[in-house]
Amino acid sequence: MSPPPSPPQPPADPPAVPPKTPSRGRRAGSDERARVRAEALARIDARVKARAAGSNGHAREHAELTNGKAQRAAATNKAARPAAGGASAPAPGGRPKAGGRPKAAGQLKALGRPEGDRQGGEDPSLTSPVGALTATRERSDATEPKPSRTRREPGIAGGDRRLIQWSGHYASAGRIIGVTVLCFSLWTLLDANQLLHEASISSPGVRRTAAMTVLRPVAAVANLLHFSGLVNWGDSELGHTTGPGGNQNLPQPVTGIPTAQPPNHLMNGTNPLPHGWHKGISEIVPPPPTIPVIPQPTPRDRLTILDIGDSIGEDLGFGLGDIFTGDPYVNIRQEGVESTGLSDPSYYDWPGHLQQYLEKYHPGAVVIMMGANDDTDIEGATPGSPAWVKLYTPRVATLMEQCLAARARVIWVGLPPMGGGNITNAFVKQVNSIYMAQTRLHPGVTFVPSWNLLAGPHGKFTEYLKIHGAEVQIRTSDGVHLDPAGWDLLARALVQPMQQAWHVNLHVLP
Amino acid sequence: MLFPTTDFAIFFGIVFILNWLLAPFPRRWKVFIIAASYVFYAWWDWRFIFLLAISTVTTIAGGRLVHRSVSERARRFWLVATLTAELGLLAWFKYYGFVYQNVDSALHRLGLASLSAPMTVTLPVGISFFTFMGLSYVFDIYRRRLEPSPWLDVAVFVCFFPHLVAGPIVRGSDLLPQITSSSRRNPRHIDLPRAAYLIFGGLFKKVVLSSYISSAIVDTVFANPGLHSAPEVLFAVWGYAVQIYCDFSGYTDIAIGCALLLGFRFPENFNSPYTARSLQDFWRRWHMTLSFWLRDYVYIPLGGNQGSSKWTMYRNIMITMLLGGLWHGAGWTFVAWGALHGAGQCTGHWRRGRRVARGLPAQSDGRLAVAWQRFATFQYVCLGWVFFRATSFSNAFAVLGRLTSGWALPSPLVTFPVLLTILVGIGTQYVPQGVSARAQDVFGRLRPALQGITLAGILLVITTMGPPGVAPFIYFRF
Repeated sequence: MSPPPSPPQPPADPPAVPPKTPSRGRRAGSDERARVRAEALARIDARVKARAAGSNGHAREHAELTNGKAQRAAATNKAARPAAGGASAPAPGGRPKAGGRPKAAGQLKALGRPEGDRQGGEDPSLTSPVGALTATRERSDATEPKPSRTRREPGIAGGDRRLIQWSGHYASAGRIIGVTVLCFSLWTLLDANQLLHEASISSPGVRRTAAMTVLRPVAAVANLLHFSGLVNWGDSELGHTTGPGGNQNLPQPVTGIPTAQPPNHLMNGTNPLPHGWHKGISEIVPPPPTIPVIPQPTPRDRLTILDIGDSIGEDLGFGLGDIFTGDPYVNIRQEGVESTGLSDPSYYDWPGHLQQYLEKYHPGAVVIMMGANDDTDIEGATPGSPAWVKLYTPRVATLMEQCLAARARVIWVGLPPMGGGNITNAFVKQVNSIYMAQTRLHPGVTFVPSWNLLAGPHGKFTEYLKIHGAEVQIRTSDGVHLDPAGWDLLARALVQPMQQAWHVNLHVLP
Repeated sequence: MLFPTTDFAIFFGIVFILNWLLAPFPRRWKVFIIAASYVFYAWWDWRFIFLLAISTVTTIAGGRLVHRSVSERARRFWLVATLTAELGLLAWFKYYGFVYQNVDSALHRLGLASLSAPMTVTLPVGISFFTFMGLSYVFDIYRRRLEPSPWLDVAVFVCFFPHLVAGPIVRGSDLLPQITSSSRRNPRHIDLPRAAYLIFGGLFKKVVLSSYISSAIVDTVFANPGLHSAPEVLFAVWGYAVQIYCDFSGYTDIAIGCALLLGFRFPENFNSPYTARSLQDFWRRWHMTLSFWLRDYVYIPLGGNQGSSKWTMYRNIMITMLLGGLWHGAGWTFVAWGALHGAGQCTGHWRRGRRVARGLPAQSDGRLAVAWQRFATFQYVCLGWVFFRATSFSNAFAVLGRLTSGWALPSPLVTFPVLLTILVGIGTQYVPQGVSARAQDVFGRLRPALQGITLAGILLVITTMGPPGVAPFIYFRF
């Protein structure tokens, strides 16, 4: 910390009350117009000179009020003293003292201002507030010279405290209201589809009903006028799920989702962070209502974790089962099915089966690991092509949204490198990137990669890994599946992300 | 109530209109703004408005008792009493769990019986901020820099909703004169371009940059650093630097912009912190209101740099920074973060002193030297952020340890959008302020319809680029 710098200069403030402008629209004689114009120019000139001299009306008022108070304070032996420790005392004009009721009546009169600023009294210096609100015209550059602005370049050391600087342009409250109404109306019209989509997946209630009631017709108008095309294009380029006509096929509201409560600050010795809260500000803010909250599991109220996926997901389920066997806090339900995936729902309908498992087990969390069987055509689109990605992505999103709607958090585990079978590592990387992208779009879902954990030194497939000094087989010889040591390694690697993402202590023994 | 939500948009719309309608009637305006601020605060949990009320009453009473006391001893007594009351509240809500865990852990290590089960203590939002504001008011009265204001004015000062939740930490000398003369605010002289720049710029930083980088790389890597490559960890650390800056500065920018629309000027809180050439410079640019608060109410009362030896100054710096770290959160990693900054500042002082003693300037000003200073300062600050973000020391060391190996592993999380976000988050701080001033100038000259269209376009870009599934006015992540 450096010694305190010199006190700041008074900021250049605009005057509290604007000068009268020459009235417009009135036909006056040329002499009269010239006189009025000259007066206005003279006032502007005086103000520019006053600013150039380093003071303006507002600062002058402050200085005079403060000097008056300083004189009174000096008279009663209460003058400002510099603080202990070497800090320089602020100049009286630079930091006005706030006092009790300002004895400003006489001083304000002396400044040519009407009396005002008494608590409980009206201030006649301003016109009617309604008139002020409805005033829409404000040409600040015609009447107001801009206050000087300190131009700060990066790299110059910052100085002492200073209030936010003016831009030099001003608007009336009425104009601001008009601009705001126009802004929000236009934005609502252009983004109606996305807003309607958000409302449709929110918790049922009055707010949702009101939002849907308002947004449905707006979205219909927006689609009719093709206003939504720009936003839909942006959404599709960014990989968002809401596309053209995004208000079609709205998911049905799911009942019974409570508003998330603020997480308990203390959870059996852990010090979890509120979801999405960086540690910069530690005060707890309740997580948004769409993210399920997992309460700290107890032996009486155990956490059920559902594991689904293809055969690799099954392997992971074995690993989770092993580490949580006998755990009084966690139930593992393994429902992985080999040879399944999202590309071919006619073979195995994962959304339908997932819904059944959700209703059967009511899990607090779902672990998903699949994709190894998804390198097949979807509706004629070859795996990995843009058309295939556009068809595959919503299927991933659907599983996530199903879990979230059932109040379950999700851990989506990425695929590891492959060393055989029909699946290529390029395809694995592509589907992993889809899972990652959808994770970002669905708060409450956490993506945990397995690639680096199960890869060899050069990031490639390996059947063996050195664990605790010994070479251990972690993958099967088919180059795809996990061996018991591998699924144990992967399952243990999930524990910390689970605990951090869900703010719970799973009491897993090392 | 959180800023980028529909609730706040409706709330602020109502408050904006009533604020200006009631502006000529000071007393009514003050009662209204206090009521609105309590509604704002109660939106999270209505029980905490009592805490806010208690803190306000303590501030008002403490200021008056200090002011009315004649003897220095009595003044100091009432100052200490007020400090104890305010800090006691803060300590209870914020540090109970931290103290409990450490005492319990120490007893366990000594083989003694553990403490009974801990109580549930929920930390109220914003308590650190309004407590510090109240303390600065009483301190300034004690130092005779301020005279007590009417109780209604002080109540507005403490609970004014734009600064209530996350600052900036406004001083009485800055805000009370504005409150006292609130009826002289001119409803025709509202700085719309500056307010719009702050609010929409803050939204962009918060909703687009911060949300994206945290979900794209930071959260994933910090959750389990061992699963990621060294480049991913490195970019996650830089990404967190961008995230915390955009999060915090975005939020306070929105607060300052909202206050400006209501006719009040708050102090600046961030000034391109990642362009700092030293840690001393960094703390003149980062969370400036807290930094200056710590300087004026901790560092200087401890003696500042006026002690008999440099070691006294170093001690004062360390104490100040350790307390600053602890203010941010109840955890040893926060203390470590403060210690890192304290040690860095002490080292910087020592180096500058040595250079001056050798007849050299305190800092080289050559282009290369400046570039190196900025780069080195930024990396050191990022080192501190690792501890700030990590959930434990083991997590922090796991992150740092990962930087020493795994450089050859694939880095799927390091994507072009991630790189671009980091570049934008840091690069915009190097843009001269004249550019933003020019943009505000251009916006200010537009007709109202064009202003509305421009703002709608900016809002559309923000909501489109922000995390979908969660439109910024429905969902808020901070």
